Amino acid sequence: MFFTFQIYGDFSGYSDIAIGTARLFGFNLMKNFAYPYFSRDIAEFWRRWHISLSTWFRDYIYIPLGGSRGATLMKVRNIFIIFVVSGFWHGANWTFIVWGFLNALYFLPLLLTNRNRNYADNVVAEGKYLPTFKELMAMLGTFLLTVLAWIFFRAENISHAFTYLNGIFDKSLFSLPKIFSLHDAVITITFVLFLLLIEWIGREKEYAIENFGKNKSIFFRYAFYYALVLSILWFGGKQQDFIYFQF
Amino acid sequence: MKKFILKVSIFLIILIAFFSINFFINQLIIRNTSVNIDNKKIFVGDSHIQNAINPEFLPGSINIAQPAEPYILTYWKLKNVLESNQGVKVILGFAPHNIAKFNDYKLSDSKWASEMFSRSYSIQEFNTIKNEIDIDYKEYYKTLFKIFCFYPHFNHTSYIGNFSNSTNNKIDDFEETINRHFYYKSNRTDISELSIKYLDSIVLLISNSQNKLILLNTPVHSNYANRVPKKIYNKYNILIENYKSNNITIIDKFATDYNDSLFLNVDHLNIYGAKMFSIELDSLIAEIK
Repeated sequence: MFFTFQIYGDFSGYSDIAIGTARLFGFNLMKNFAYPYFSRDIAEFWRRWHISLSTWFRDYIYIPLGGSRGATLMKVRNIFIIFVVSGFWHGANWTFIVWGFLNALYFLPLLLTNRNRNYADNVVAEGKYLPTFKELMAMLGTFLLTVLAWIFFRAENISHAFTYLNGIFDKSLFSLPKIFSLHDAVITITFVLFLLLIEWIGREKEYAIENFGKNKSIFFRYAFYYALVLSILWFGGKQQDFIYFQF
Repeated sequence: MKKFILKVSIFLIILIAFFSINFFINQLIIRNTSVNIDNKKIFVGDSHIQNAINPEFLPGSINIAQPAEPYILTYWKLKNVLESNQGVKVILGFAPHNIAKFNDYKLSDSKWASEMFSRSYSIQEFNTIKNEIDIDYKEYYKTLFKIFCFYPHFNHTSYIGNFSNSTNNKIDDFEETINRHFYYKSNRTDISELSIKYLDSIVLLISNSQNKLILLNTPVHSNYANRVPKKIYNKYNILIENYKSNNITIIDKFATDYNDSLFLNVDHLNIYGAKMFSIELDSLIAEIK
């Protein structure tokens, strides 16, 4: 669960560093993440996650292969190729291949029933504060499928991934998890919820806090910036490489 | 561009000023901080002492032990605490794991370093050990920055611990505990000469003041006791005999047969075991002049 947010914060955060820095020099780089964990189905997730890579694969592999045109078998083949190659792009490990394969399995039913573009033009709960029950269930379902796939992405090998899955689906599922540091768990969960709240509020904008406080006084804006800087300095852990550096 | 640089500079200057003011306030507070311990029996050491000694059952005593405390820290701690104390009985935890090499990594391994620095920053003497063990200075300065620069702390005596325990009872963790105490990165560790050196320093410190030292080994479960590496256990016994011959009082309850229900885990007593042990210890210590 925590890895789901770690990889998002890590990757989306470092993309935002690149985008923000480029803007200082007058360059507008493309957005790379668009609130992917609020996706209502896997097709929407892949329009919102690692947009730069998925659009490249779409334009240079998927469409030349025929895309979603042609016979059903062709469509199935193309989907599997695109997702397995995407997995392979991350590294020469069977876990990435399985991750890609799983995502292909998730995506295929939507493509074959022509429902892969259901949410192409809008954001969940557009113009509203809260999602409907149906939207909430759709988001949770997509989120769970994604988390399951991340197990393979994160695991060292296939056997490690299955050990993990066995651990999730045994009787300990109904007991409280063993938390090594309650203090750290509380802080992590608080920040994750804060992230989700900020992103939910800003989901209809290009970047959630892009215009935050624009119309407020300088004191308010400076207080917010100082709060951000102090939080990073206080809660920042040991220096780690960005997860996506290895890719 | 000029406006951008000016704004960023103002932003940074205010931030640096904030950190500097807090730093100076905390420095001032430290200079005016002293530890006043009036108790005549001071229990000190690591979690074995912290869990086993309940001062409620030992009148006139205080337990200032803290988890994972190596003898280096205990020495610095006692130097401060005994500065203005005389006629005190200092009861120091001494068990085989206290002289195991994993103690030498407590100021460099991320598992322990940050916690050790946050306790010892106001009493540390790194200059005296920097050539003998690794010290993670980056982590130290990071810890120092967090303690000194964010807000004024009115308590800079975080090296003073206290009794802590619970009613838990789980004694199947012997493998994990033996690994933690006597193995480091999957390799069996040796004896820590530095820990023995600092134990000797503590003995000297107390014998040079008008205080009395008692070395205490608290009860552990036989599942743990029987798995302590022979080399380290033999060295421990040699040291015990050495100290005995130098008139240091030893209370060795390592091999005491306590009921399983009195243990928190294989090497610590739980709250019930602590009560029983503390009551027993009170009468033992009373007989020691």
